[in-house]
Amino acid sequence: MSASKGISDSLEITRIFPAPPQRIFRAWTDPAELRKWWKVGDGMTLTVAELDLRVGGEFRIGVESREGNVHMVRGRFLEVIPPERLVYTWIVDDPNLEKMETLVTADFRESESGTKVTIKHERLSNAKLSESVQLGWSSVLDGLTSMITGNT
Amino acid sequence: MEPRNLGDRSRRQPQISSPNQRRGQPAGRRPGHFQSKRRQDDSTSNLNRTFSALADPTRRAVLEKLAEGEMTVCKLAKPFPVSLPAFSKHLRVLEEAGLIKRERDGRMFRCRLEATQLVEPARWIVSYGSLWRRQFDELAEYLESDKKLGRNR
Repeated sequence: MSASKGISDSLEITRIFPAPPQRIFRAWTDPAELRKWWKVGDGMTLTVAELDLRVGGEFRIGVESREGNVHMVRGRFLEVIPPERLVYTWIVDDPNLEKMETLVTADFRESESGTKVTIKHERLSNAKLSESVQLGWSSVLDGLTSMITGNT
Repeated sequence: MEPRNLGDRSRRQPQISSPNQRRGQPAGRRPGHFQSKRRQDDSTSNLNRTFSALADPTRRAVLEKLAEGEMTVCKLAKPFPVSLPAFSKHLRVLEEAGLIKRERDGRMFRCRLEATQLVEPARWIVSYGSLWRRQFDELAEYLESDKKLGRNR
């Protein structure tokens, strides 16, 4: 089936949280709340959280490591439907990395036990990959995606 | 030309590549017209190796961990509920598939992701997979502590 889908350059992760969608949406979009949980890794603290929560609005999220290195991510909101859906571009602002615009879709669906959150991160492919490489790797990536995200 | 001398690695004399010596090499090592076919087979078996290396959840978790940066084998092994020999076996499989590299650093071994094997999107998939999973953990923990304070909703 990978042929019809083309290269798989996305991942999808789902989890159920025991809280209503409104609560999750707020945690996801309120800078003060984000500061409390968005950590990215051990020893990292969120130092920048600016969100202009409307279609076309931009955001910047910056985490700082103990050594003082700041990792910045920015993007633009393409869809804002509280409390159920957010679509935004995601660009890692790192001078050492090639600027790559990826796409994040966050769905917050009410479920029996709370909220089912689904994150879909798309356009992870590098445009510079030649077609032949893509063809050769598409099946590997398909497998990789489903293996990595399959059992969550 | 004495063929049995060719494999003798204990010789300290500098190896001079003379036409005679080249002729003495085993036939299988000589570039031949079957090479392109063989290279194709190699790349297929490389893919298979990558596939089977990735087929195990522990090994995928190791890759996710290494996406954060290189680390010693001891530190890498810590969160995994397997014995060190079993863990080493996993590392060997990953190494043979070209997904990681092990290097000796004093008395320790350091591991790092071998970026050339994982093409760009695959690397992003691995690292974003672990990023979102971690963020989910943090969010769950935060909501739980917030709930205890009676602030939910």
